[in-house]
Amino acid sequence: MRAQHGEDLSPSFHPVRWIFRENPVFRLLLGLCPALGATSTAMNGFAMGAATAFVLLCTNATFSLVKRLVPRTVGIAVFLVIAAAYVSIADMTLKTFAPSIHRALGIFIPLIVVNCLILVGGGAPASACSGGGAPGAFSPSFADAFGMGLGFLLSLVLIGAVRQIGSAYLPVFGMPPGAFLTLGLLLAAAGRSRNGKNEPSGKR
Amino acid sequence: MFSVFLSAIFVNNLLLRQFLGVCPGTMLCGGVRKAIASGGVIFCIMMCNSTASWLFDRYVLLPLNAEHLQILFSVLILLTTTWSVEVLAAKLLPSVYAGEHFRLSYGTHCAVLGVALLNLRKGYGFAEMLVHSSGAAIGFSLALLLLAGIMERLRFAPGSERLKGMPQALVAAAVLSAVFHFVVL
Amino acid sequence: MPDEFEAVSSPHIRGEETIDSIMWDVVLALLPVMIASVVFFGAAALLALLASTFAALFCEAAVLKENRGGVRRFFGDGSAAVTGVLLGLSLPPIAGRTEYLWIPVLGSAVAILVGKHFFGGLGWNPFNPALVGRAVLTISFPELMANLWTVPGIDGFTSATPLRTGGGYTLLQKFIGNIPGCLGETSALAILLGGAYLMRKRHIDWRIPGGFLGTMAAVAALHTAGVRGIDAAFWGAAWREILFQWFSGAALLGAFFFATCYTTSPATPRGRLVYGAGCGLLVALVRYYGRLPEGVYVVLLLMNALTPLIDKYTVPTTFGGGDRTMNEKIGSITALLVAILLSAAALTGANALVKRLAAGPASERAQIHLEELVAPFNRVIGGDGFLRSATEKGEYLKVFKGGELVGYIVQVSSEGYGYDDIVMLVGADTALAVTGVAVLEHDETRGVGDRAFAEDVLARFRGRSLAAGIDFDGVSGATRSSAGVRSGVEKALAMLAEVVRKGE
Repeated sequence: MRAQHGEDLSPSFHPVRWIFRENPVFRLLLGLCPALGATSTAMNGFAMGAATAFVLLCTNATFSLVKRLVPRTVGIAVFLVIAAAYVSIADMTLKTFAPSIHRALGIFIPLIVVNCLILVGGGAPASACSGGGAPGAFSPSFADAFGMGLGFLLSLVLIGAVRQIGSAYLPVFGMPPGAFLTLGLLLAAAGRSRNGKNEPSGKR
Repeated sequence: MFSVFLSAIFVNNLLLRQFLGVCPGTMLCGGVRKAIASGGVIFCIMMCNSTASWLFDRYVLLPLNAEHLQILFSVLILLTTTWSVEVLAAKLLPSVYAGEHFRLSYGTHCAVLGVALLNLRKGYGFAEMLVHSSGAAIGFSLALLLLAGIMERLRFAPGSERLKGMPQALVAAAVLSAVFHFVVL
Repeated sequence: MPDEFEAVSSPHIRGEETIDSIMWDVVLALLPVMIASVVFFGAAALLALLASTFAALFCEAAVLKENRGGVRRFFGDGSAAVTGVLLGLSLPPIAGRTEYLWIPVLGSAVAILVGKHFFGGLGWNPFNPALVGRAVLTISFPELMANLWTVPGIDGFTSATPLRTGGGYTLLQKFIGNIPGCLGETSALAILLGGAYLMRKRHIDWRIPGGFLGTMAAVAALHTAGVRGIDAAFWGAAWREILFQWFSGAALLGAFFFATCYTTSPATPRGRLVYGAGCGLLVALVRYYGRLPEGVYVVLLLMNALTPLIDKYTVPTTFGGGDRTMNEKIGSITALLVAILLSAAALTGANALVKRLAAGPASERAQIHLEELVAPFNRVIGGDGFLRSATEKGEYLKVFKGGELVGYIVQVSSEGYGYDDIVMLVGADTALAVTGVAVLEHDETRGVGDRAFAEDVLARFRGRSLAAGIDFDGVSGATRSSAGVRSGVEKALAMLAEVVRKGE
């Protein structure tokens, strides 16, 4: 699979790269919806990241086990079913044991299923998020999934922390405009955050 | 009712206030025309999916007391409706299909799924659901349109490379989010 | 050879105007407004303006790092100064008090850094930078920016603006500017002077303020016609209303100085008319039918966002050409939009019908919701048994203690200031006197409106009943929220009164 900036993402055993060089949020631009919506405090960011990572890991593990048994045509459907199942588990768990967090994350919990991060990191066949890569071209190993999950989690905590601290001085940060602002500023700071998305003939 | 509609467009705007559908929303290449067409496509998909989801929840899940399967089936229904709308479009409106607007719709899964789930969680009746979904879709398309216009202009702006594209789109979205915050009637 | 000739690109005959000269002309045009603000609001105004302007210049200089030296470099091309002045003028007088001087500084910094240079600097900002700064301030500190107006004078006292109180000042006072408001808004005279200067120098296109004010006038006239009917005195009343709308709030300032900014308004003549008219229409609508007391700044930001689109679709047809494909596309898009709007309207009608037919799970869910909230119940009236009952007006709970009916609890929604209703519980004893009020959900402004929900405030309702009259003064600064609470209590008691009357 070629990521948006054309680098070869062949599987490797270096999960650390997912934290910096290939950070899901700041470089690969995956999973932006929860990155904006579930990060009003650092704690929320952590919870969201943890839930997503949990689903990511489980889905990755389960799907790689069943991959060979599933006919190609229903590949993505099966993948989503597995992901949805884990998300439901996460949802129910949070609802029972941490209802305040459940309420804070709200609608973004079920949306984990369609989080591009899950699709890419879980190894979904022919997922549209990866620009229509050929099936099986990118099979993330469990280590990859772990790294991606960790990278995502740390990113969300970072955004949450910035917003939380910022909102003590300027309440904007806690609100929707502030979320956009924070992500925009952080992305700019992260630098070289990919591609020529500006070109009309860009990949998407 | 009108208030649900209006708030779905502005104060609770999917993209700018609820952060759903941000992925394609801020990575707009292809400009204003594509944004308009994509908006239309997304409207269709959203309406179909919301209706299907709502009906399924009301007449299958609720009687069977299977609310915990809601997420699972919402996703499956999403897949089905997207696929069906796409197939229908390929047959009936080949020019639209060829325009690759459906690619964009893949990224809006958050938004489409989000609307369907919001309908269910807020306990809307059938007509309320329709109004809410159409308002949400219109609001989303409006946000897409505004951002597309702005980004088209900014394409040629001077300034460091690291600011262009996403960061600028996000800050523009921040301002729009603030504006929509106040559109309360 | 190359040393003897210098190649310069066209134009070879230049006019006298440069960006600098235009910008400083704008500052000059703003001088009357600045002077007026100092005259009416005193030293505070001067401090606020100085703070905002210098903060803007400072940020701009820091970003640009140009080679020209010294003082000249600091003042730059004047565009930062314009932004700084405009931001300062849009602030309330409280921003000039020494403990609040960070407000203009912060606003200017955000305006210049985020609103302007983040997008590529001069000419590339999608939104008017001063407005961006002000928006950030307004969202962050709503109470500061909205509630504390100072009546002119060195030590003023707080009062609401004319738009909120709906008058109380003569038109002449508003024209001169001896009224409360933001620093730059108050003096119509000063703004018009500046605007006339700019128009004379051809720096601003008449179409923008013309469209803006003209549309506002049209809507104002229609509104007057609607409100009082067309009679002999109509024109007088309409004209008074038009002037009132023009001279109130930020309309004039927005029309002449904010909306006319080159970068954020369309370039085509027709586009400018559309833009001006759009601004005027939205401002008038928001003032009459919206909840915002002053919508000019928000409307302007929205129109700024629409500018690229307006530009795109108002390109004058070139001689000999005709963009038929474009027109076709516009036609089909319009058709689609019309279809969408019609279907939405049809759905609204359908819903009204459906509502009448179905009782539906909606009320079921409401009942479940009611039952889940036990804790707040005890805050409004204590009991050990609850019996759910309903009338067609709504549901209520009968509260029993030791088997005896001791009172009732009703959940009501009422309209407050925010978008969503205030949802509250009202408890009453068997004599229908209030035992307690608890607010469950609300959308009121944090720190402002929700002061009406403080425990001690709500406790004032205890013991009141409809017969004795609910005499609730409300909390100053949270008028609508308080009124919302009171009307909710009245609604609840009225419903209970009917319940008791029917002997249920």
